[in-house]
Amino acid sequence: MFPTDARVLGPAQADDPAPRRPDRWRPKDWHVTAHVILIVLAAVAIGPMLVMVFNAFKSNAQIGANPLTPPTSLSLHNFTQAWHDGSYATTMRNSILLVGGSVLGTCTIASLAAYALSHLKVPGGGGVIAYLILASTMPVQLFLVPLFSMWTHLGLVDSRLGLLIIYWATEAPFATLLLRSFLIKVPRDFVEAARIDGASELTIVRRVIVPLAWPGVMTVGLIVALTTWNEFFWAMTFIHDPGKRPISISFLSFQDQYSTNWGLTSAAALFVMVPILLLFTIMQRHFVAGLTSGGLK
Amino acid sequence: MNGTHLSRRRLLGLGGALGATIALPNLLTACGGSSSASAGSGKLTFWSDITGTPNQQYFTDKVIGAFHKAHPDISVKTTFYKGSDLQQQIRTALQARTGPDIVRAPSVSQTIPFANAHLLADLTPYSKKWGWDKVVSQWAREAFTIDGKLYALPMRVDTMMVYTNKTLFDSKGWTTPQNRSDLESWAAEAAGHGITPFGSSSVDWAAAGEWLMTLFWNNFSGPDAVYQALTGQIQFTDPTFVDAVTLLKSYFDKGWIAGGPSKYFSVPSAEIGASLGKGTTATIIQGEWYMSNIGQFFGSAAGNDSDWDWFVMPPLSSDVKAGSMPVGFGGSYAVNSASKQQDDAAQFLNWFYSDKSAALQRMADVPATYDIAIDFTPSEIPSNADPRTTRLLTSVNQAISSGNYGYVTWTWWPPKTDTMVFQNLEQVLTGKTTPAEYCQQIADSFTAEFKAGAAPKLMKRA
Amino acid sequence: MTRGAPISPPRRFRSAKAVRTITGWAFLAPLLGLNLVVVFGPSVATAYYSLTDWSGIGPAHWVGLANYTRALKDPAVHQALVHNLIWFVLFLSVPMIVGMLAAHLINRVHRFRTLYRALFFIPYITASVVNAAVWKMLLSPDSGIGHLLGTDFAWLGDTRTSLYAVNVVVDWHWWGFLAVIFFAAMQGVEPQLYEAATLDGANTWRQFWHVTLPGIRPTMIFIVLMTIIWSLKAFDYIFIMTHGGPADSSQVVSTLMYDQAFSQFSAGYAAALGMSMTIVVAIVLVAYRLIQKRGWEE
Repeated sequence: MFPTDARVLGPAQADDPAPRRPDRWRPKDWHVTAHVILIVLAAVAIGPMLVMVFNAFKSNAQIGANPLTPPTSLSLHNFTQAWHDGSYATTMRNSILLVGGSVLGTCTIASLAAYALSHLKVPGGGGVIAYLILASTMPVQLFLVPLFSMWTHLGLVDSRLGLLIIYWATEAPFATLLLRSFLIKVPRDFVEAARIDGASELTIVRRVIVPLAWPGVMTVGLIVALTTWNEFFWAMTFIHDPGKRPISISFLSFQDQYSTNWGLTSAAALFVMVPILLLFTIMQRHFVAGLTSGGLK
Repeated sequence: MNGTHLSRRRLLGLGGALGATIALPNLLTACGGSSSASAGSGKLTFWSDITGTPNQQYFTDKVIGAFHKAHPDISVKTTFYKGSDLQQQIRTALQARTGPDIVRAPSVSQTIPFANAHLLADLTPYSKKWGWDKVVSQWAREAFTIDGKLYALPMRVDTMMVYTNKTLFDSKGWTTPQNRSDLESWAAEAAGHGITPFGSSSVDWAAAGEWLMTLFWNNFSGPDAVYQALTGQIQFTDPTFVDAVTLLKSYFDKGWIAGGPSKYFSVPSAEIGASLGKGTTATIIQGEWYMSNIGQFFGSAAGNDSDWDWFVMPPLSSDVKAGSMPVGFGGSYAVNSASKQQDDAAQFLNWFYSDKSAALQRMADVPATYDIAIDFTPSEIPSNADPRTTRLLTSVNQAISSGNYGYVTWTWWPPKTDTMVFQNLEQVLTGKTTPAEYCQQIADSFTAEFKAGAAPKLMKRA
Repeated sequence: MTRGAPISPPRRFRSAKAVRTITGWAFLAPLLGLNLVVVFGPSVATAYYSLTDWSGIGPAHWVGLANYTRALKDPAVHQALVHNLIWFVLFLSVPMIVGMLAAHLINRVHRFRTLYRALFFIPYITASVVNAAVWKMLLSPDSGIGHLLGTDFAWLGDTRTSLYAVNVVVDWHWWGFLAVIFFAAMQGVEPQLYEAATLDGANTWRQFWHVTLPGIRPTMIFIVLMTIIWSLKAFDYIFIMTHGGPADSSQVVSTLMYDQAFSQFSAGYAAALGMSMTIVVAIVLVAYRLIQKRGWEE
């Protein structure tokens, strides 16, 4: 499972007793280069967003004059107006509910399924994986009419639960496959040991698998949260009551209405961006904590 | 609204629904028919694409609110959508035999398939009961009648106009062009100053190309030729139509429209509007509905002290008389044939059309959005109307009554051909297809749909 | 499994194995059950429609394979496939390379790790509708980056560059995601191997090639597979930014399909296109199974 010494060091050096330091690469130079590259990449990554943040604090006239420069004064006017006109209080609450529901539901479903596929050696598991991949490639745009029809029969249209069920169904396949790739690296020995101790499979998932693969579970949960928060296609089709609309739909119609006012639109966009950014920042600390406490060991 | 666990009823419903889904195609072949809709609960739903908080507020207060005052037992709940999204929602919902009671359906061309699939209720009984033949203009009723059944009423009378930055025109000493050579020499002069003569954009509304084609076919080939083509007497491959397309393309290639095809495809219409306000664009070619949006680009709130005005596109050839305006309908109001409150929904349509003073007041309050196809005289227009609005209403009425009107593509062309008009135009503008090939495609598609009876009915020309 | 003289397992073990299999299927049940209802059912309906002349509203009449034969000959489909291929090549290579590079570099530096990861992730966590809005502004000919640099080229409006312009945005959106995924996988590689490699003089590149890559193999193969498949599905950004235009210059199969279903009244044909996409994926999957059988995952 892990590379042997020969593969890491190359055949010639494997038997060499005295470690040689090459003259060219010194650790310090390399670190500087690495940081430079990383800084450039970071600038490319957040450059556009930075422009948006700048514009959110400017009035439209200022943006017309200087589209890409930092604001000279920090005005909150755009934010208050966008918050009110976009009904962000309502839509943010709806999105938070949807995210919570989808993360809990999808992670549960995916953890169980990924464990079954990676550790329980279920016959036909390969077929299931193939089906999951195939199912996740079906073009969703075509499902619209049959699914809408079915949901209407079940009374699940215009209900957040109905939307949640769709999210569970559509997000779980990728979550399962991803989690499975993390779980494969969890050594069998731990699981065997727990079994010998008489633990039920469910307990194994809760007490052994999830803690050992915690960074993987975290990552999957985060991806599910992101997907749900940013999703707009299903939400647009299945939720009509303005009081139940999620935040992505709110931004779409806001942007449509205020497309000339880039300052307002930027502020509205920030409302969509910042909560999920906060979530990621918070979860990232746990992510690191899980690692440093030797979770994987 | 719902419980949080899957009840047994739901599970059984699930099985049934799964079966229903697989059997769905067969269900769909059965026509919806007209359910005998009794009074129902009096709570109606309506999906609208009116944009802008002030416009939405006006609609909720003055239209829905006024209707509720007139009929206290009926209330309407409105949900607002983006234009292109709304059409997708309506299609999906109607097909699933659900959706709003009052349907804001697309333009005539695109509503025909809905009617043919029996998704809209037959309004003929209501028309007879409430005497709509005395209220709604004849050409409007005929356009929406298929096989003798009335299936919708027009939401708004459409035409094409040229909006201008009046302040800019005055400062440069430009006057309204009266004919093609006037227009072209003016455009060349404007372009020489670095000002884009005609602003236009397909970014926010892909079908914008058909606005331009409507104008050029009607103002160059002439309404008579268009009428003959639409009634199958001549073909769209006739040289006069090809030449109209060639003329349009030449304006694009000179950079007179939007500054060229690439910009037409990428600069959003809001930016074009702002550009008009600033005076870097001289005119915008748009429909009358734009009148309710254009105000935001002018005045102190927009950071300039300019004002706007509009003129009718001059004739582009000698076949066309001055003052000719292409007309049609933008959108329609209909009743969902799956609605359980069809009588109440029809009552709304009745009120919307029959209450003449309320209708005229709406037309005066909000430019263009509520221009419906009813007959009225200029003196009946309320005095608080903006003079530009009044001029629009009188010009359109004048054009129609004097027979000096043309045909907009989104009302009088059959559905697939209508889509082709703007979609295939993109190929012409980018040089991938020639105007002749484009017209051949249009002609072929039109002939096929015409033979299949999918073309709307035109009123005979005087 | 221990080797030795074959003994028939005692009863207890056999039923334990059976219990494990049943439990396995029980664990898979919620996933498969939901999927069956939401995905499989409508997929069957789609497969049915692909064999009809359904316009999207109204009744559907059987036409057999006519839609498929039409798709094979349709030049618009061919052009869309070419665009998909271009898209696929760019989408597979650029984000992977940049993402892996970034993940590896973060893995090896000691300071500001959290900050870098957070910054790289921002494009991915931002909703596609927001990203598209920002980039549309940046790429605008009259007020965007180009304008500031002195050109008024319309990146999204010119038929020669529209596809590549959207692709740049999608690559930009995607590589941060890959960086984080690869970084998480790289955490599973034992640090001692890196220490040993450094002591023995292996430079960054050799460390990466011989320590990091093999250590993240299962994740990497999975991500390659998903990227291949998702390149076929590329829809959101193209739909929002150019709608497949102008003049079909950025039209890919998924946007073509949407156009056929919702603008052209040819939902049956659109269904056939969708099913064809799935068939292509099935072929890719077969290749994946072959790789799997060779044991490359472990």
